[in-house]
Amino acid sequence: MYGYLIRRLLQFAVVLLLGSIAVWGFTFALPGDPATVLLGPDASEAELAATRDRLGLGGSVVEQYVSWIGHAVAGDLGSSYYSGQPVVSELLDRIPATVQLAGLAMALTLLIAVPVGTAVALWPRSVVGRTLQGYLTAGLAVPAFWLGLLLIIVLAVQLRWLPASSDFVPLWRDPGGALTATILPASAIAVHTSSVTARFLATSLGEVMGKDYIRTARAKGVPERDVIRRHALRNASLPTVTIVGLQLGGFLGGTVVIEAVFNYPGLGRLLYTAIGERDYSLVQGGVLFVVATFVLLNLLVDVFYAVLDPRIRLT
Amino acid sequence: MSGGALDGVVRDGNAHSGTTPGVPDRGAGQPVLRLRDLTVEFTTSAGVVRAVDGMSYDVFGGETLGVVGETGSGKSVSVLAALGLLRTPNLRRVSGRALLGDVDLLALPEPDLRRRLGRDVAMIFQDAISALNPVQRVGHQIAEALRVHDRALSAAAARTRVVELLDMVGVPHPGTRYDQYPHQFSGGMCQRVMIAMAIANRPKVLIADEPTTALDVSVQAQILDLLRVARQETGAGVVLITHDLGVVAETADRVSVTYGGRIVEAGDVTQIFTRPRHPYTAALLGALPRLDTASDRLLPIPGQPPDPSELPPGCAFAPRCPISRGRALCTELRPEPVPDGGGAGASACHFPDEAASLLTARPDGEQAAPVDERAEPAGTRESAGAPVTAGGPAAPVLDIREAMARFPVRSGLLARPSAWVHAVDGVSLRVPAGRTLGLVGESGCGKTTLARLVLRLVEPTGGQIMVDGDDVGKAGRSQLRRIRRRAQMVFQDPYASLNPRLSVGDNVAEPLRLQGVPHGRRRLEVADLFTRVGLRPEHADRLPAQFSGGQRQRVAIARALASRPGLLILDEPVSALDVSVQAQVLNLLADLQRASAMAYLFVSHDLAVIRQVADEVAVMYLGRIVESGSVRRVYDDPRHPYTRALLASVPVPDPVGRAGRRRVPLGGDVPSPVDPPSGCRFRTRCPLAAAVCAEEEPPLRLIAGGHTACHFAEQTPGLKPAERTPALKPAEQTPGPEPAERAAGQEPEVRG
Amino acid sequence: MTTAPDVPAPAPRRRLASLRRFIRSRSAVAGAVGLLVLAALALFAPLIAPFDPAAQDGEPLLGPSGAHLLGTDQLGRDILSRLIHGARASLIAAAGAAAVGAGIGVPLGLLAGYLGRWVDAVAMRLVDLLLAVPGILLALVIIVVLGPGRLNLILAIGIGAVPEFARLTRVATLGIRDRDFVLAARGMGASTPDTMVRTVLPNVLAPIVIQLVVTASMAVVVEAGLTFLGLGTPPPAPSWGGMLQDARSYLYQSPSYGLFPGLCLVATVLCLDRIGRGLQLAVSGGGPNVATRITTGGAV
Repeated sequence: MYGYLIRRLLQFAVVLLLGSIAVWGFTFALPGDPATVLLGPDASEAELAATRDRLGLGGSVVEQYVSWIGHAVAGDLGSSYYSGQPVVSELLDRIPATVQLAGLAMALTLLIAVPVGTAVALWPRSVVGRTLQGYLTAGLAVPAFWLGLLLIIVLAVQLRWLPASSDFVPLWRDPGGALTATILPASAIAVHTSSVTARFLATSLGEVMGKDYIRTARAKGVPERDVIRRHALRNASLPTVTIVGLQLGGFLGGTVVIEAVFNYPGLGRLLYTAIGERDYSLVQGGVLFVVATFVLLNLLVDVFYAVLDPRIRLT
Repeated sequence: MSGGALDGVVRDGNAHSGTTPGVPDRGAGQPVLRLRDLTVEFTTSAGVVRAVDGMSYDVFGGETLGVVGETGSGKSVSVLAALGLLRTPNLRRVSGRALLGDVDLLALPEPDLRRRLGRDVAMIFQDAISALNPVQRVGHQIAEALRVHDRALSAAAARTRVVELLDMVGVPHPGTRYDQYPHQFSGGMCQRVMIAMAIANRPKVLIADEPTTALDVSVQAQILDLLRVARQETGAGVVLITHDLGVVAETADRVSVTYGGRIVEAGDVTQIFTRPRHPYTAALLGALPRLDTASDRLLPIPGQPPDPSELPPGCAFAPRCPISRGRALCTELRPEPVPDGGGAGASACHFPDEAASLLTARPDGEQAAPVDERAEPAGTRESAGAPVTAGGPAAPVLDIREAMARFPVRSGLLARPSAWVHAVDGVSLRVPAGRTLGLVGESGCGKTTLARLVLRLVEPTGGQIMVDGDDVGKAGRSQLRRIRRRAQMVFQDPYASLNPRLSVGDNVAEPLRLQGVPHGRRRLEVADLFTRVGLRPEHADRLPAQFSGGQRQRVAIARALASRPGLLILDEPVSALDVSVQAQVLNLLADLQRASAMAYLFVSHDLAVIRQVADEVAVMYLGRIVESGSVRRVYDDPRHPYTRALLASVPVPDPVGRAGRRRVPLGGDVPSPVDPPSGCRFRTRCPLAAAVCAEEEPPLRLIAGGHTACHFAEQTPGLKPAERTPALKPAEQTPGPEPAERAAGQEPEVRG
Repeated sequence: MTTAPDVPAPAPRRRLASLRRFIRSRSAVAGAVGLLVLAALALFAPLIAPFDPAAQDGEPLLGPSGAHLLGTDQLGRDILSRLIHGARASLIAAAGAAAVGAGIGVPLGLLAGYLGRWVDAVAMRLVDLLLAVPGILLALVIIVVLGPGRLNLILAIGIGAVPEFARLTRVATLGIRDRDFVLAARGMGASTPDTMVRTVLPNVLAPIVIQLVVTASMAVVVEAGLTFLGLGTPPPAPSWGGMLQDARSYLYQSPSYGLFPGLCLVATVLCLDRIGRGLQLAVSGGGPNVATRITTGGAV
């Protein structure tokens, strides 16, 4: 198991390295001196000098990268050109909101996907199975951001039950308020992702139900419910874990449009605004953070995978 | 605890009945399981397919019923359907009755059925590794079989019982093994676990569905012995489903032969094998290559096994039947099973008395096979290049000297090779034109790697391989291409060796296209090749999926012939085929060789097939040749203990005198080629092993006209295998450790 | 007697059998017909649309009426006409992104899977890298670097689809790389490129074709999402995402405005999804999924 994990760790280190190089190189792809690109046209000479120093401009390419990544690891990603705040503190401001939205969206996703996926796989021909299959098809076809719009139109504009735009209310301060503020964007996301996950789970569960060891369990006399619970679900959940990991990674930086729809103050919205304002320091820092989070999350998925599957754990 | 029982079994192949083999113990009275008119239908794109068509049989307590038949004959589907284990969505209908005692399993609601499964009737499946849940501990899986039927059983008590069971089926260190996962077990060990699971509740009926098909012959012998023990321990009636006539002859008391979804003949085992009353049974026996007697030519059954979606209205076997001869009765009226005079057997043939005559018919004048004539023009064309003088030793077409292939086992941080698999480790072989060298060994011995080395499909790590005097290892790109034209390969699985996206004609034409033969001429040559291998040229534009296994193998052979090679590498070319079709392909290969003087390197795990086709034989074990020589020398006077054990492990399709064939199966599994034993590689499983074997690797020495790599080759007396006296003396004479235990103790502990 | 020609059962050719299976699936055929209708609308938009999509000749923000079947937008333009013209942006993005994704991803996966070793390692780290940035963010960043525009939009979405194509192709290639017919091709003297293109590629096509459909439906949504953010199809041209952006600003004045572009998106994705399912059934004969969408592109 350690060999496997260490190998994965190294692979992720490579990805992280490549990713950081790509994020760093991003400033070079834009026209102009990197320091000017990052700081914008109105920067003062002192600011420019500080940034040039942070970027190691003037040194060799390797020195420049090392200087930049060194500062980045130490928490110095420069300052936002628009707000003047350090990029790191801008990011830290938004992370709780994003984590809260991602957490709720993932909870809803699993809450829907596991029973629906199981039911669809086990009773594909029954009324329940067919109805749920219809839900999956619809869930896959309806774009999350449009569903968000619909939810706003119906629940906020017409019925006035919930706010049309969602401010961030920290869960630890006001759980009820946090829920009402986050439930709309989270549902808009979860309808789609739960359909993806449920369909995936249904597929792998369907495959597993045809395996020889399921037949063995039945031949032993295990009641069907236990065949599913003890033998099928655990094996079927293995590939699904990967998907859920990818989705969670997506939630932590990729809910840009949903956040725009709901005016939700998350990381995606921050990055989107930064792009609109050409605040490239912030964009660079934000993308680096998203990449690092994503890679870390994938590593966790692999650890989890190894825990679930003895074939990986014991070789 | 298995001691007494196992001993008895080893000494007496038919210990249970204690009387003459084949007479079942009917004293038990009621049969434990009765199938009555079982019919199973599927819905497919080709319409409704009746895979099982009114199958009936009885199993009595304490007896073994062999259900034997070829692929698609309905032998497995019938029991799976009877136990409600058939779950494919296209299952249309299961009808008839499956009576367990007085209870019809087919009429039971599912929860009630489940309560009986695993308790009264248990199953052992073919592919044991995939039949075990990969993410559950092996012990828990067996314990589940106990606890699901006895809710009061505590976890600790279940564990104790499971450890006992594991010990009984010969799993070493059962306490430790309990907590391991299936992937840490070998195939044979997994099958032992399956058996432990099956007998855990002492069922009345034990159904074994091809329990040894995926296993090596030495492991197969162990498992068959274990099944006998299991039958004795539980007193269960055993249904042994298999395609292997040898396995049936060795183990069954009564036999039912299936064909086209029906039982075409039933009877006691001696009668079935000596006086068959159905032409299919007789024809199968004629098509089977024999280990004990080599015949010049096999008697194949023409045509292909029937497609269940289009069974003929009359007798399903009529189109292939040698005695039907187009009689209207056979083609129009489906024969029902008719009991013979004695009442013990039944035959579903209109002319049951004509069948036995087929057994005595020997290949003779009528065997001037059409292929010879048809192949003649091509043959003369090719043999012009390599004239063969009958009997005279020609220059070797293939000359392998000290060939070596090692694969890195990558692990650790940077996937650096941390160990090497010694797949082929210094092998020398020569195959002259017009001759066949049979290369035989168990899985993992390196025989396929060696075959691939010849075409450099695997990069050699040492030694020299010469094809027609050209060094394969040193050849440059264009020279290698020329060599690959002169040496062609036929693979094991005809379903995998043809490009499924190309028509069979294009598949055959591929070598010609690569040589730059223009399109028009390719078509002509393909037509010629099709004729030579017995296919219709007009079918050249069909896709491989439309052909049966035997036909595909003919296509693969035609493709190999396209570049007019002087050497064919045949890697298990008939292992995936049914017996009746296997004989066709073997005969075709023999005819082609006679016509064109090709040299064959014939790789197989099947000792009987090798005996049938080969002139010379080499026996491989863990990357090395342990014995080689003429067929006669290796089969009739084997000097290496491994060869002797292999020969003793092969089930012989002849129940007469099986009680006298006291066999001691070779223990354990083949050790990992990553870390082969020091000295003689066979020593860990060898009954003759002494101190010198661990220190010194025995070289291949010339002994009795052949080569044997054993320190004690002189001491292994030249006993005729026909007598089938125990090959492994010490194990037989000393009553001390019994074979299963010995096997267990010597097995490598943990794989991977 | 041994070589009596074996007459194979006259079975239909398999490719036709797949087609038949596809046709037998009613929902798949409905999807295909729907997509054809959509394509026809996009192609002949000027002939079909009742109004010029740019003409500001109505009252702003009218509800559905006889003159304007689906009403007008904030500039008084006919919504129905804009929807019909907007199909172009969606379909072009879908086709273009699928082509870009497959054009880069398939060769990458084929090389990685067949050659293995360092080629595989490099290709897979590249894929991991692309996967490490969520689809919509990746597209955003690419557009920032490349600048806006229709072609760059297609590239941005297409690059996001590369990893799936590469992984799928690689896995399929690995699955058949050591199969006997590939070995046989090498044993006949076929060169590595010849083996890859003629023997391996045709046998890994099935999941790729399905992925093309899946990618197209993902691209429709991402294009709309990006345009909704103002970074996709540039404003004067009608597009569904752009219309939703407008609708977002006039939620209270004209709630029905936001309904129609979304329904168009749903219909398009639905058609593509049905086609994808139909193809899956056709190639697997009702077996397990060959490809399943795992990107989070739709979750934008």
